[in-house]
Amino acid sequence: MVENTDQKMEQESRQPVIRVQKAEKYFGKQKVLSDVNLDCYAGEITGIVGHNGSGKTVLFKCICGYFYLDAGMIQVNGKEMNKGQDMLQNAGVIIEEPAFMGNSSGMRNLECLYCIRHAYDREHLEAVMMKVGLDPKSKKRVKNYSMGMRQRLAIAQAIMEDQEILILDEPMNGLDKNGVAEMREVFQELKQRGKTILLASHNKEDIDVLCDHVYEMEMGVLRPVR
Amino acid sequence: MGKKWLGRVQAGLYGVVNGRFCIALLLVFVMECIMVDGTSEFLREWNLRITPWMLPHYFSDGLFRVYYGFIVCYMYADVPFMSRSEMLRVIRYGRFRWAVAKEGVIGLRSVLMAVWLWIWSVLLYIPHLTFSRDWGTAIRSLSYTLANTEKYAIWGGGSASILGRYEPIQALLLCMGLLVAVTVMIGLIMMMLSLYAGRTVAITAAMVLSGLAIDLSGRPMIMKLYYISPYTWLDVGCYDRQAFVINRYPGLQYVCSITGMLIIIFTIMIVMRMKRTEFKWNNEEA
Repeated sequence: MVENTDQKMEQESRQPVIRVQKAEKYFGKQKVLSDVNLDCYAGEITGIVGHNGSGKTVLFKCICGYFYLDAGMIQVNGKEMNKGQDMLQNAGVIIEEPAFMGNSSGMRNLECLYCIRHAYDREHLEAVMMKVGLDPKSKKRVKNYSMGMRQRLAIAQAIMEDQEILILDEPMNGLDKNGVAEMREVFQELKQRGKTILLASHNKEDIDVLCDHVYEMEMGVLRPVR
Repeated sequence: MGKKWLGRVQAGLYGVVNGRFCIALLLVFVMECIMVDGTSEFLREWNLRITPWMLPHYFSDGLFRVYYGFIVCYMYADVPFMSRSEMLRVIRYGRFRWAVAKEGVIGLRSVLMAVWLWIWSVLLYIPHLTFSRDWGTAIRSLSYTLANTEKYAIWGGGSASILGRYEPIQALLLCMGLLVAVTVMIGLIMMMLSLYAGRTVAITAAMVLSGLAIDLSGRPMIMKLYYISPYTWLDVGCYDRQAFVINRYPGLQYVCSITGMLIIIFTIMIVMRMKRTEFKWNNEEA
């Protein structure tokens, strides 16, 4: 009991990296986010569970800056993400099933994305490819990738820039048992290195194993579970 | 340093050459092959050599301008370029830089399209080609003799008013410059409209502008439409020409200033809108 109280006090004294307060979002007359409150801290994995269409992806898109809130606010590192604000910086993102250039190899896809903000670094990209279990030398086109390979590539692009924040919507989709275990290790390692990870998953086991805090989303309402 | 530069150029070039652009280039190639058909027959029969200055004459033909307009409309029909493969790029570029990059893509595609048009307007005549700084006998014959047009079913054969006004290189450069500017302007109009009013409105507007490119010279009541028909401005032989008593074609100064002004306005409007727009992705392949 005392330990729990100490933890709570420690958390209150820390500043959240991502803070969502009273967030509301409408599509037409339909309310897709309703009074959502969420704090995510550095070095922790925050998990969100919920059915399809419950509003998880919309929340993630609002945090990333693809969508704007109709009410409430999102703060990232103390900076408010208002309408007219740019996209979320310093974030690696997987939202829905990411689309790649189908006619290019996985390595080429990573190169094109990496070079937008960084100097070309083949060795680093090869290491990232290997980390997620893909062969950097493979000439196989992404359109011929299996779903699991695409997902590994999606994870590779999210982690390749060593971003401080990771927004991962169903990152384990399509991965086999080994793949899931490997990726769990990757995420645990990133957590150890102090990254802030927000993760949505259908898989209860992923959430149980990986997450420090768990929320459940239903009909746009987010409530803490753990 | 070299690798850094190369990587960034590669990243920037992504999206310039996609499937849609390649099909547009192919359509232009087919259109030019059809244009060359009758003219080649004429050149063969009369054993004439043609100089590489035919492109400005192509655009004196209303139907060619309309077809070109439709091809441009197709080329930019994926505005505002929100295919899902862009999702991972937007977050890395940021809204402003992404919008500017997309405007750059429009510019680069327009330049490539103009060069492509000129290259095939030369290469397809190869058996009959000769190099001269003058217009040459073939282009003069095509421009001044209507009988050839009917006999050999020549399409876009030549324009006497271009010959009367310009030196060949001057006409080609003016035509190429305007071709790039007008194509950029149409791309920007489409992108701007797609952001403010939706993609359907953007495509409809581009198609209407293409339709306006048809030759209106025989219809004095609607000739005023030349002033709002950008594709007709590609006919470099018509500037300031008197048509009937009451009508006059727009001048080069009008065309250049309106095109330049609209490009600047649309560029700013796109960037402003992009700052507040919500990204709704579609599943089209880039």
